[in-house]
This record gives sequence, structure tokens and C-alpha cells, in this order.
Amino acid sequence: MGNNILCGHSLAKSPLYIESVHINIYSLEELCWFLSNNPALAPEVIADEKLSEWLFDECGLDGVKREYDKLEAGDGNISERLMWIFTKSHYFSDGELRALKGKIEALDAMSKTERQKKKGDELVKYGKYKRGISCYEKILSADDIKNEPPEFLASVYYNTGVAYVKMFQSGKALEFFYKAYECVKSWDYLMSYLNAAYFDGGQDEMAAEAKRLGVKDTQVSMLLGKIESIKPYEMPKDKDKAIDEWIRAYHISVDQ
Amino acid sequence: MAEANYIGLELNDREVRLCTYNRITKEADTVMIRAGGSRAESPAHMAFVKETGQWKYGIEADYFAAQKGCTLFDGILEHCVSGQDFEDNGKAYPCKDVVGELIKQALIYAGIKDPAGQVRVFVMTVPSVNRTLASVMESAFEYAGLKDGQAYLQSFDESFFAHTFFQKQEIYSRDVGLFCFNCDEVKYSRLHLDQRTKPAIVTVGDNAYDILPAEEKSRDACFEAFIKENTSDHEFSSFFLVGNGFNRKWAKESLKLLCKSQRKVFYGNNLFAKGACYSAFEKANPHQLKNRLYLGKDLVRKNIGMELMTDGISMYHPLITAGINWFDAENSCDILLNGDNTLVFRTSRLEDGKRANYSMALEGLPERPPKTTRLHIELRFENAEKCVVTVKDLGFGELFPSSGKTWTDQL
Repeated sequence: MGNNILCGHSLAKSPLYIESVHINIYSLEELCWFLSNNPALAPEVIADEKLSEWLFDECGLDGVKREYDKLEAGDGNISERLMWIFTKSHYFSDGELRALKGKIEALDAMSKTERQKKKGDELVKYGKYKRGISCYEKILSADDIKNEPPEFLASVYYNTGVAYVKMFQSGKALEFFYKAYECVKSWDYLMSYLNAAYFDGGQDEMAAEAKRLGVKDTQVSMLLGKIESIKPYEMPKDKDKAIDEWIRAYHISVDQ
Repeated sequence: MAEANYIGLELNDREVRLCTYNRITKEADTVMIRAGGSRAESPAHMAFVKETGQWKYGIEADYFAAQKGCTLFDGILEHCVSGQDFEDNGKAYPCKDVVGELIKQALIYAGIKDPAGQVRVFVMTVPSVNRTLASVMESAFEYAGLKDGQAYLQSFDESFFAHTFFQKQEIYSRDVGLFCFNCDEVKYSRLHLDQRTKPAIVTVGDNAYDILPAEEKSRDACFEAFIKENTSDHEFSSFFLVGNGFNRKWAKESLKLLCKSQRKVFYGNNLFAKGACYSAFEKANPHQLKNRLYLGKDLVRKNIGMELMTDGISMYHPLITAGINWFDAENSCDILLNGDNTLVFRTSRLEDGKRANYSMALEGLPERPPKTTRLHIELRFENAEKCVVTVKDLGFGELFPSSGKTWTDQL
């Protein structure tokens, strides 16, 4: 039995631009993949008024336009429209559609803060660190933050730290890794904090913090060993080109 | 002038002939190169007048070359076969443009100034087709203003087939023989209809060749022997003789032999142009040739397809359907890979339906999650036997950029 899928339509001449992650989408299949893997970002995509036009003009769904228009004119149920797109695309098998339905329902059942964190995670995954941090900050600055379970808060602090690391801001990363460790005293959070201390202030800073937090010498040595085992970065031959690319990537990531 | 919707054009190494389909008489009418004249063939010549930037065709080209000092472009068919461009004083003239102009100007003789608007189907016929010639003609058709799906190319054999079955049934109640003369050279082929199959299969084969002496008596004897040698094992209802080099005056005994057993014998020079014209009509109005399948050597004899998920259902997706000429057989599609990096093509033979699977491994394809690799698959033929498959990795938009890799294989 053939599992490969025949593409029913040629690639879109005008792509759909997903503003939150700065990505152009050229086919219905790409849209389905993106939405199914980043459901927390789906509401913004679905709400985009250009989506409807794009689906019908570029993806050949004009035969069923009336159906979609009804959904759109209705209560604005994002999940319903999402499942409609998934079903019409024929990109997913029946089993996958059932699983997606469950995933979307689970997302709908999440609290506002949980959805906000998931959105932040998905933005960071696409290199949109500043926007991701913005999502995490909304959670952390909420009035009822203390009602959130410590594990959840730790995860938010930790992910914020990771986003700062990606932006080469190890000082800020250090601050958030420590807050994650304060919420949940886990080995992983501690190691991340000490790692960040090493890259922010050097081996002495790391050693001082390790001592302050009562980390054994053997454990510090092990961590140092891991850091030193990372192969030295090999500078590219065309340094000017590489620097230009890094600067471009940095500016995209901090969302100019 | 008859309505000029269905056109057949014959191009051989010396001449061009044009026919248009007459809906009233239901026959192909030969277009004369001069109104009221009796000459049907134009020399296959072109000339370019630099001063005016105009092209001249046929006898006009001969005139301008002889009288006005223009360079004569001849050997046009030879250039098409080799793909070689024409050259004049260091300037290159692409072969496709020269042929395109020839087609345009030949159509003007039939009263057609707007090929896209006035021609329903155009069929060009040449002695035989190779990939280079097919490619040149494709471009020439476009140059002449003929749209995709409006113009076709076929060999003389296929035109012979079409011509035969537009005749009365008594002509093809048995085998039909064809003798093509070119001065002292004579070629023979036999058209055979096998009515045991459905559709009935028609083949043109048993090709033979000889060179006849110039002296009339010997020529007749030689031709008679040639006829005997090639036709004694089969039964014929008719023979056609075409080309220059045949003459009733010398062919006394050979004609007697051909006419034996009430066989019909026809002589003329526009068989292929008429056959092309009948093919043109048939393409838009399938009827005369409908239950007969011409199994020429240019025909693709394999169906090729893939098992693919189409609108959520796994089914056989045809890519190439057997029964069309190899130079017309090309197709492409995009698929999303959902499994390992091997594509499987299913083929089935036209004659007996025998099936086979061909696997094509895409080595070096980057690893990506399932259904995030879009592949562009193209199939085209180098000849009737050799199908070339080209697969290109398109990635998955900006989500998973393309590696740019391509793979080529043969089925």
C-alpha cells in the first residue's frame, strides 16, 4: 500500500506569512504540519483574515469555501476551524486526526497560563526568543502567580533562562536559572545555573557559587569535565560572511 | 479553400507538403503552392532577407537565394535530427526558429495567419523521430504560434497507418504494402492489422531496402524481384507507391505483379501529408482509428504509475499511459514522502498486462520527520524503451529547506 502522499496542488505563488515566527508557508501541507506541531500558535494564524483568502486562492479549497465561511462567521471557534483545515487537507490519516483532536481538546482544557507558556515554548523553538520571553514574563508578572505549582513556575523560569542563553545574555540567564532552582531544587536546574555561572563569570565564579550552594567538589569536577569536553568551535573560513550571518540571525531572534 | 482546422504537414529531406481536412468530402485536401496550380510540394528551403528581416519559404526562398544573394537554408530535416543550428556569416540561426518560420509560412499557404486561433489540430510528420528532433519541433511549434496540445509530431509509419484506415475497407481487408522511392532507392514496409485482439493491433514493419539500377528493363526486373522477395509470404489487399523514382513506363512487370489477385495499387506523393491530416482530425474526433491501436516503434508500451495516498485513499496514480508516442509521453507530479527513502514505480505492459515494480533509492536525502519532504518527480522518454525518472528534493518550504539534491534513474 502506498503511504506517500500525492500533492493535490502546486506550491502557492503567494505564500502565507506567519508573522509570529516570520515564516512563509507555501502549501496547505506545510500549514497543517506547522499548526499541528505548534497548536499554541494556531489561534493567531486562524484569526488572520488573510488565511481564508489564501486557502481558497492558493490551495484550491474554493470548492468548499461556503463551509469554511460558515465556520468563520460562527462563534469563531478556533478548534473547529483548525480541525476543518486538517480534515480537508487529507494530510493526516484518520488515526492522526483523532490524535490531533485530542491534542487540541487538551490545549483548550489548559489554563490560560499553561497555554501562554506553551506559546512561549513554541516561539522559542522557532528562534523568536524575545517574544517567547515576553510570554513567560506575562505569566511571571501575573497577580496570582503564587497560586501556580512550583514545578510549573520552575519550568517557566528555566525556559526564560534558556531563551536568554540563546540571546547570548548569560547574566540574565543566570538570574532565571537560579529562580528555577529556588522553586524546585533539582539537579538539572542546579547544573544549568552553574553552567551559566561558568560562561558568565568564569571558573572562579562557578566554583564560588557551587561552594555557596553546597555542591561537592567531585560534582564540580564532573561539571567542569563536561564543559571542557565540548569541542572547540571551528571558525568558518569566511569570517566576514559568518559574522554578517550571526548579526542577521541575532536581529531576527530579538525581533526588531 | 476548404476550412483549415485540421492540418497535416509532411517534412522530408527535400520537400514540404500540406493537407487540410475537408469536412464535406471527408478527405484530406492537398494545398497547392500556387493558387490554381498543380504543384503540391514546396522545396524544404528557407532564406533570410537581412535587409528586411523577413523569412522566405519554398520556391520564394530559392528565388531570393538565386537572384538576391540571400543564403539558402536547406537540409532542414537533417538539422532537426542533429539539433545543429544554421549559420550564415558568423550569425547563428537556431534550428527551432527556422523550422518555426517554415511552419508559419507553410500555414499561410493554407490561409492560416493565426495558427493559435485558426488551427484546431496540427500534425507534422517526418521520416522518423529522435529525442533531438522531438525537442526542436516542440520549440518550433511554439515559435509558430501553436499552443500546447494543439500540435503533434509523428513518424511516416504512423501517418501511413492513419492514411490506410481512412480509406475504404477493401483497401485494408488484408495487409497493405508501401514502397517509398527516392530516385534509385526503394524502401518497403508492410502494414498488418491483427483483429484477434481488442482493440485490433496494427503494426508497420518488415522493412526492406534496395537500390534499383537506372536502366529501365533491369530496373523493372530488380523491382519485381524485390516485390516477390518481400510480399510472397503474406496476403495483400493493396499497395501504395510514393516518392520520386517510380514510373509506370519502366515498371511493367512489377506493376503486373503488384496488381495480381485484384490487389489495388495506388501511386501518389502525398500519402504521408494526408495521413498526418487524418491523424489531426482523429485526435479531435476519435472515430475511424478508435478501435485500432497502432503499435509503432515510437509507441510507449508500458503504463507507469505509483501507489499514492490521494485525497486520503491509497490508490494507483497513473503517470504514463501506454499507447502514446514516446516523445509525447512526459508527466510530473509532487509527492510527500511518508516512509523510507525509496520510491516504487509500478509498470504494466500494454501487450499482456504483465506487471513489474521498480525501486528507486534516494540516497543522501536529508532525514526529516514523516511527510515533510516534498519531492518533484518527472518522467520523460529518451526513446520508446527508455523512461528517465528525475526526482528533486523540494524540502518543505521554509520549515525544512530543500537540499537541492536530484536523482535520476531509468525504468
